[in-house]
Amino acid sequence: MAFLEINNISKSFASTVAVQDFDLQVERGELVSFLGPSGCGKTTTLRLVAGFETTTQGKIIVKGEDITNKPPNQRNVGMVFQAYALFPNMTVGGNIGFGMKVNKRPQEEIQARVDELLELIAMPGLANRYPHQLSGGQQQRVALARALALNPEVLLLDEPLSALDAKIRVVLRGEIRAIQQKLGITAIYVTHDQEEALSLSDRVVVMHQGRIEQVGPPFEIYNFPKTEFVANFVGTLNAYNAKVLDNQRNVLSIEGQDIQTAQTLGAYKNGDRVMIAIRPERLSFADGQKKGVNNLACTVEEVTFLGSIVRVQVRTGEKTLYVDTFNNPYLELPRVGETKQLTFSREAVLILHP
Amino acid sequence: MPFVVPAVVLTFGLIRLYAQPPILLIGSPVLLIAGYVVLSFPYMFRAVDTGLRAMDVRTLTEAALSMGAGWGTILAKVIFPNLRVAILSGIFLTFAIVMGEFTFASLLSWPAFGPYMEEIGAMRAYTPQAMAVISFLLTWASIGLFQWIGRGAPGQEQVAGAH
Repeated sequence: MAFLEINNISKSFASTVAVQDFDLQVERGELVSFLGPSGCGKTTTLRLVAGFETTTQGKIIVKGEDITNKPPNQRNVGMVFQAYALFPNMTVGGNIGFGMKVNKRPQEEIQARVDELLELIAMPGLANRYPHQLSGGQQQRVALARALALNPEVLLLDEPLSALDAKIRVVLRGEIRAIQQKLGITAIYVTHDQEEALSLSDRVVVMHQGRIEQVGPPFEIYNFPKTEFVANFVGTLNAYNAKVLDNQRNVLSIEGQDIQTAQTLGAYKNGDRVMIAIRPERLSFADGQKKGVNNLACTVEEVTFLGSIVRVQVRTGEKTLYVDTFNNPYLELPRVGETKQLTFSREAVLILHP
Repeated sequence: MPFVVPAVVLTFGLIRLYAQPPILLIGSPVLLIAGYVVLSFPYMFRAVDTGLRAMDVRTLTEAALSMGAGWGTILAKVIFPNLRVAILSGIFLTFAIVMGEFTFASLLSWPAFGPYMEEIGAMRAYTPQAMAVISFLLTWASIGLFQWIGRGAPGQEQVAGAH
């Protein structure tokens, strides 16, 4: 039995379905991200687990106990909000110790726990500051410590880094992951930032229109997207509408040129249309006459320098593609207008389900 | 209601309703207090409403709920302390309005500040002037008190770092 079970839950607001048939099992100590665009139902699902919303159907079970109908203040679930939500009238120490005070723990125990958590978030000695005297990053650290004070069964993080600037975001996400792993706490992390989800999760749940599109480790989500939505949402993508030429030898046709895929096309008939995807980093320019298994003639349209990578926009027939190459100071960049050959492996060609 | 219906009309309504059984309240301070509550309600409401809008009540409530707090604790420890300045400004406005109010007190025959000044003014020359000065000082004292109690209230400005 999983530590946290979200069994087939749905949530409707009047005639709008926010979450539909959401089913997920989370193991103890696992960090699972809910990733998706605005309005996909990820925050609603988190709020259902927190108890701030009631389910229309389905059950939420923590450690074998059904908490679906429990009020939020009896669930022992810690929550970190996007807007920090620190109590402005209380000091840092007061904020962190609030839950313990409510639970009538002895003052010495509260003090010791506050000091311990301030050490954990690397803010010792700041217990007497007020929230408005702290930076955004510090406020969110305090909010994290406050959520951890009562040793919650599950830690819920609702876009905790969205209000922070890019550099602090990267630092803080590393800290959140390190603290979560150190304490071995089960966590759900809601974000619309794919880089954040991929970098700190054990598993990612990609959501779209209230439903789960795909669940899997970040590596699998990025490299083997199952649907067109996942492929499009996670990373940059070259998508093609291809025609099945030979379903036995896995040969497809795009723009009148034949390509092969490593995935089996047995489920399709010859002549069927299928969506395929190729990540920009799986494409490269053929060096001289050397060609790979798959080749496509193209014309260079634009070269964009992005720091660690160089993104080249090329045109093959009617379609624009992106080709990513790692930057190095001696890289020979293609010239705009130049005709080149693109080459890629069979494994680079992913078949997408609609 | 006090903005739309004049105080005279309100008072006559109250007198007409409560000057006969079953509820006989004429001569009781309850009627005056009830009238003043109606009169000051919109000012108090506006002040508290502005205070509530300035803080994220929903998220703060949810944060407290997730830490096991009940509604009583949330109101006492989270909402009211953060509404302190708004409530105080409502109290001050109410105080100022009630101090200067004449119609209710006069028509209900209560010797409140306004009617008392008017009554004294009919007979003596200097006493009403002294009372005017006292009312002025009282107003300033209440403003000072309000500022003093409201000091150190949680500000919205940030001292350091990126938000």
